[in-house]
Amino acid sequence: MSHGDGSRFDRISDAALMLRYKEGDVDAFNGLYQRYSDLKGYISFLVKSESLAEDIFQETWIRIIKASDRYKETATFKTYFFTIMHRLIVDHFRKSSTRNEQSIYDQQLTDSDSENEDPFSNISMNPEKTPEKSVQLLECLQYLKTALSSLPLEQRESLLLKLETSMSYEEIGEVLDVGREAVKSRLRYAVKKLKLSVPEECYGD
Amino acid sequence: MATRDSHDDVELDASVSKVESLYQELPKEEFSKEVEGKIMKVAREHASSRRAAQPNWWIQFIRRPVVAVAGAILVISAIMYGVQRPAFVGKIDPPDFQQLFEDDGPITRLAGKIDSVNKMVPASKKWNDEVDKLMKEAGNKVLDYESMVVPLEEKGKTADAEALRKLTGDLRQLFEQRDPNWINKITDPN
Repeated sequence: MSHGDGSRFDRISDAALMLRYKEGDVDAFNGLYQRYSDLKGYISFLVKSESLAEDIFQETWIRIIKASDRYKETATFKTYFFTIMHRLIVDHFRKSSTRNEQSIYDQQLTDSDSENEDPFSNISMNPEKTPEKSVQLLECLQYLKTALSSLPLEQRESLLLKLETSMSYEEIGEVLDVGREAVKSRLRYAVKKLKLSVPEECYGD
Repeated sequence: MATRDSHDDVELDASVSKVESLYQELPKEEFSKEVEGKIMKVAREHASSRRAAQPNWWIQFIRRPVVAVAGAILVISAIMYGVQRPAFVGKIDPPDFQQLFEDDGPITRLAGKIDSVNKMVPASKKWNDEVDKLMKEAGNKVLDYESMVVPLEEKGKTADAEALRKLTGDLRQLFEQRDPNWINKITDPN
């Protein structure tokens, strides 16, 4: 998620841009879209498929557009956006699981196996780092990717939301429709599992 | 209990923060321009259909500036009326005009003095002294009084205009008798 890209909407909140769009200002909508346009990695990693990530991303925006007439600034737009996205993801896995008579979590692993799309395949060498450091970083990111992939969906989504959006535990709970303590519990388990899979030196200090 | 929760939060925040620093090394990927194009198309279409669905949306669009302009005109008119009215009224009936023609006003007083001077022997010492005093008092007002004659006539105050014309005429005559160069001394004191 990016903010402050030097556009004329820099100082305007997401909710204000949404309200402007409600009044018919399509430029304001475009400004809002640009703030959430870099979520390909996040969604791809969540659903483990780039094509599915694209569908979910598009459907999220279409739902927001269609509901814009009724939009009210009752929650932050960020929470609103990720709640819609979360519901679409849950719906997708629920439908898939019904079709295949598999659990949601089995299904997401099947997706991962069946589609050999690697959301991190474009990780490149960082020119600011020495070759050794860059190689080490790539290895660490590979460890991170493997560790995140092995997390159950609800733990993975909780952790990715925290890492991607810096939302509070309450906000994440709102998005996932669970309590604050449930969010913390999921995060604790997730971080504990990551520690087992990602070497300590990968965390820098 | 609250302290324990707070301690929990700090510990969890620290653990998440370590992972976050590694996570941030992942490249940020944007969706393709094609995806953006599709979403923007839907956004534009929805905005257009919403505008079209609103009855007489163009009237609302026009009405706002029209109301604003009408309001501005009203305010400006009120201000202009407020500013101009006293000036306009002042031209018709300035307070000084009224005072000029009152019984104890300067016109009446000057007319009385002219009458008394005219009863004296011209060029006598007393006459000279009185005319000098009159010149000192009203010499620099002759031109002002003369400029008021026409506006008074235009406003229909012909009696006042005539009185003023007679007064300035009498003053000119007296002053010229006393000193043919009096007007230059009045306008150029040096």
